[in-house]
Amino acid sequence: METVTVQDVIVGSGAGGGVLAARLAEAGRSVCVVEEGPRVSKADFNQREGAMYNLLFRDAGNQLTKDGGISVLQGRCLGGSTTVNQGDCVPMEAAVLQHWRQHFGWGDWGGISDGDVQAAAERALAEMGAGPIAPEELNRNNRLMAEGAAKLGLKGGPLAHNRVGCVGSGYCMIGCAYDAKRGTLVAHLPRAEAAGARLWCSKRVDRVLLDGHRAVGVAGEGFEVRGERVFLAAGPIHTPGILQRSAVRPRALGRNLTLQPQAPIVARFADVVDFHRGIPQAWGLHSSLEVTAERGLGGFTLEPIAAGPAMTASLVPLPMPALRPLLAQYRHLAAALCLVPDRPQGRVIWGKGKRPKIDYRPSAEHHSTMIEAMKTAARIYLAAGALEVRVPAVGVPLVTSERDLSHLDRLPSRANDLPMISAHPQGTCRMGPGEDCVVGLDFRVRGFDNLYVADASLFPTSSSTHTMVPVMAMVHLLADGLGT
Amino acid sequence: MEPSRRRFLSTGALFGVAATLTWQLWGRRPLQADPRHAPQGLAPAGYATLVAAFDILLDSPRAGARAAKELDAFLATDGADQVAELSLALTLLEMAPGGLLDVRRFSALPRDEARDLLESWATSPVGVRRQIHSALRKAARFIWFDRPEAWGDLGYDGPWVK
Ligand SMILES: Cc1cc2nc3c(=O)[nH]c(=O)nc-3n(C[C@H](O)[C@H](O)[C@H](O)COP(=O)(O)OP(=O)(O)OC[C@H]3O[C@@H](n4cnc5c(N)ncnc54)[C@H](O)[C@@H]3O)c2cc1C
Ligand code: SF4
Repeated sequence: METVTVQDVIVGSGAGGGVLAARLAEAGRSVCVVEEGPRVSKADFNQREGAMYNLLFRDAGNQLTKDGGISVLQGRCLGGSTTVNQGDCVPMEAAVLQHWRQHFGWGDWGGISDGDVQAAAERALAEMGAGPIAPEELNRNNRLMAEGAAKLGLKGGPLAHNRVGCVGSGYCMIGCAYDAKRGTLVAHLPRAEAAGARLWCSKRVDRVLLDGHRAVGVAGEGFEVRGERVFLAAGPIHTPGILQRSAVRPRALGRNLTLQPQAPIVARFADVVDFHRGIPQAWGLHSSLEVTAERGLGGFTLEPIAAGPAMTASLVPLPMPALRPLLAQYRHLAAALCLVPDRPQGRVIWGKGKRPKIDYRPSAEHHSTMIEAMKTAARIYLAAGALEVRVPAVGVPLVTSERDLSHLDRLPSRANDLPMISAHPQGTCRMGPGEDCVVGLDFRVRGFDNLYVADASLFPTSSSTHTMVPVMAMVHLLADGLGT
Repeated sequence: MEPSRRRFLSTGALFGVAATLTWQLWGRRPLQADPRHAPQGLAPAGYATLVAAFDILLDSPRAGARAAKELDAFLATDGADQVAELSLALTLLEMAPGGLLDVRRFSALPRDEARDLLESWATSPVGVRRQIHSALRKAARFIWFDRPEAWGDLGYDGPWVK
């Protein structure tokens, strides 16, 4: 049994764990980050889809909901999901926080003001060198959507991102080989290590070691890390598993999962688009989002994406003879994700095995908003001059003119009819004052003095269309509260 | 009913069930898909089904065999968890064509019939069938189009790092 003893044990090195490691180590604490995935660096990122999904993603990108309908993407490597994400930086809107204050008992949140939350988000942005994407940096895929939206009078704009020195290769989702994308792998973990933190990779934490109401460390196969405080930042699918295996099982554990399911839409243009090159997800549609203190985050957004040949071919459900001519037009394709925020409705259930059951079905409301999102995307592409727009769902005919938009009303709602992904799982260890919460407003697991949760599982509802900065901001607030 | 008649009927029924089971088990005995390749992750029967399904999903026996071999090799090294799930899915597909007294197997169907059957699963009202179709389709296509040899037809110029 290999045993390490430190002051602070952090499980997971993603948006939550990575930021916390830098904060605590730089404050002079001895820190060990225990990460299930491998230690990776830019030298490992060979820009090959198969190899990189295997190396960097949970279950090689095949972590699915129970019915197989949604692929829940998460990084499983040093840097967690920030190593494989698209680098978009979208802080939480004030109205979302109001929603939690008014409807989820956050009230004055122990004195944490809206200004504090904003300052924490700004700190997160500054640490990553984040800033707006310049209009001239938009690739053709993003520009087409921007132009089409402008013609229809719809509002959108370039997003902010955490890239510095980007060469526009387009491979952000399988690791940036240039260290241009500044997730925790680049922006925080080297700082933590320089301040003395140990980054222990390829170590899966099985459970928290408990002594009454205190955590005394964590354990996995053949190792233990003992410490004065334990912080769980394994993400919203796996943090509840660690608690469950540690026999810490509040009633709400694993519940209130939101997935923000997204679905792709593809357009074909007469001239070359090369959607796989340049900065993906650089522009977003804003006018369709609804953010209110009453309902929180709602509506939808559209963002152009990149996909390599393997991902593109695997997502389009055409028989091969029909797929071949479409793939021959690969360089003429444009593609976007329709992202529809949802309400907390799913559940992560951990049994004895190493993989959870993710029990989630999109609601009827989600489905009708998805249809609206797809119609808007199709109208935008047509306005931008697309020859045809395709929803990659079985049985939905092509859209070649406004007249055909009604085809999209036939969007099937059954699992596996339309390929859906989730890149923003949240919830499952809800933070709040009530019995229906897993974590108190001070980030401590209910009933424990020194066991904390520091990841996207804290959010009571969907925090933002992009969850990295909200997670980082939360963790800065946690670190502030600990006096570091 | 007279006791001797009842005994005769129940013995007959038992015999019928036993015969059907034997027939089913014999009929569904493992096929050796490709004598040149002994699967490492999957059992031979499951592997035979996988090759047949990939053949259809990639519209080429050669492509199907190659993609199946790659997936099997991946499962052998990395995918222990997934072997059980995939094997079950492949068994369901393999047994799909037949009925109680019908032991036709998916991997032994004429190609057109196998294609019709597999494609019908894409839109099946049975959720598990759609799930199996979608998983096999994605795996076959992902593996096939991850190969540099496939990129030329798409005009994809490949990774920038060499
Ligand atoms: C493909 C993709 C694209 C995305 N794009 C964006 C974007 O553009 N902008 C944005 O804001 N957000 C984006 N996100 C979401 C964002 O990256 C995540 O919401 C955020 O990283 C979540 O932070 P986290 O700390 O909760 O979990 P993660 O960052 O996922 O980190 C969790 C870590 O814990 C480790 N772990 C899990 N279980 C264990 C265990 N038992 N023992 C030890 N370690 C364990 C995991 O391996 C992982 O490294 C994207 C996500 C994905 C997957
Ligand atoms: S597009 Fe930029 S950030 Fe993305 S992988 Fe290429 S260099 Fe890195």
